[in-house]
Amino acid sequence: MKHVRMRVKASATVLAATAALLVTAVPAHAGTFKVTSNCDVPWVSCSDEPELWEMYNSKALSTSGGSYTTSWAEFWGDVYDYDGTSEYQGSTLETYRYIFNSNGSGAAQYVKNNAGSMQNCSEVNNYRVYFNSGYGGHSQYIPHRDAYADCVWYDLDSTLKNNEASQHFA
Amino acid sequence: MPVRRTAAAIAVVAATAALITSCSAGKPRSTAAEPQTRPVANSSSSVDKSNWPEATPTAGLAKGLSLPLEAYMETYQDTVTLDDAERHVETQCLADYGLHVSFPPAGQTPPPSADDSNMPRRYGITDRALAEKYGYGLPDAVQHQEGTKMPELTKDQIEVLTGRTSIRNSPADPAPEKAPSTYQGKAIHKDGCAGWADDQLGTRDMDFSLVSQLDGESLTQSQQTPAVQNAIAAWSTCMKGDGYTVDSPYHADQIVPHTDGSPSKEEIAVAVADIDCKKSTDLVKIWFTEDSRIQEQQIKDHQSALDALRTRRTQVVGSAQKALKD
Repeated sequence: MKHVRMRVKASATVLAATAALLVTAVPAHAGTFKVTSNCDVPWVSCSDEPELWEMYNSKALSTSGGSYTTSWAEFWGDVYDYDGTSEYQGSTLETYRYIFNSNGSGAAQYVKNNAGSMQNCSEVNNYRVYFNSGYGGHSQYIPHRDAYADCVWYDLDSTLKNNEASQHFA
Repeated sequence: MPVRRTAAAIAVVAATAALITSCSAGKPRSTAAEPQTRPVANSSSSVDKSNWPEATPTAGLAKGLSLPLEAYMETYQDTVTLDDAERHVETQCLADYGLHVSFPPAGQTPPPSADDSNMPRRYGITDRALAEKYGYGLPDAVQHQEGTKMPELTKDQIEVLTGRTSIRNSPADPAPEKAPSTYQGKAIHKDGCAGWADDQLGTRDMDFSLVSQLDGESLTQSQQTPAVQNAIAAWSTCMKGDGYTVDSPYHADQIVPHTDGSPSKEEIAVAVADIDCKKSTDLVKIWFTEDSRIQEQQIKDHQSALDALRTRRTQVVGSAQKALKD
């Protein structure tokens, strides 16, 4: 099947020790793993680096003195359920649950219904974040950034804050 | 699961593979004799629009339903027009410096919803024909999409396009340095051709979040009205009759685990029961009525701010359509 994309390593950066925080698949118990990116799921094919960062905190509470104090998870493409994803490998059901990384607030917590803001770092792909799994309910548009600008960083609106469940290209 | 590529996607890949080299080779821009790649961003006809979401649902229990706030929302069609115009103007600007880039056309990765309201799935699923095939999932063509790829740019192209020496791809990357002020004697725009395109189109600092915020509030408020609570309870009773214990349409997709790949028979059975129970209880119509009533009031309460947003949207989309004709 498709190979797993390795996430881009942070170069010299204002963020302290981001490289140390890349969490690879951690087995919770047999057949279930925790990952901080859907691109780490063996059957998920990300044709590019994950570009939609889901932040535990809202924008105002995410940084201090130029460094991130929040944790985040990284997604790419269409995600049916921020809870995670399952697939049968032979007769075994393998489950991958999505969690925030270990950078700061919200470390290693489950992502679904638990985020305050989103950063879209793509130059070309727009996204929608949905209230319910399976792309249900109200949605919020997170546009791609301009070529000259930083990632687009939006707080989730009050309906979606800590109530976000899926995402889709837009 | 095999990856399906549309013919349009293959064409775009081929175009970008034939790629992006500076055709100036140290000379200032030459005149028309030099063969140029036709800017792909201009040809929205190359994009497969059959998967685009409809402005208003044309099938199922939400057929014909359109909420009041939708008149103030940015649509998928709008965003495609704006993205295409942005790339078109950037292409022209870069050509002024003798640089040639083929940007991909927008509109290749449509969502299942034309705007924030997400009518086909706002109250959960409503389309029985889709449910019979896909359960709670979407058709293949709008799931597991590949995304759109930007071409690799040379250092010169980056500097002229962005006014910076590099493109920041991640929040973890350091802030890029400013580009030199000129390229081959010609001044580089502030924020490069990309910034200049924004200024031409009037698209800097667009913020439609008010409409989105209100739309979310009307959904949660309408859900709490007695009429909708009663309808949801009736729906839940109906589902119980089919053997499913579930309190709300927003939890129905969790009754049977959804695995990647084809939906199970069990998932399809739940999805079909879900929709049939919505039909017999008139849940969608009842919820839509309360939702609309609340939105009418929201519009009254925020009329001038919403009008200003609608005016802005009309202006930028108009500018974009005009630019695409040049």
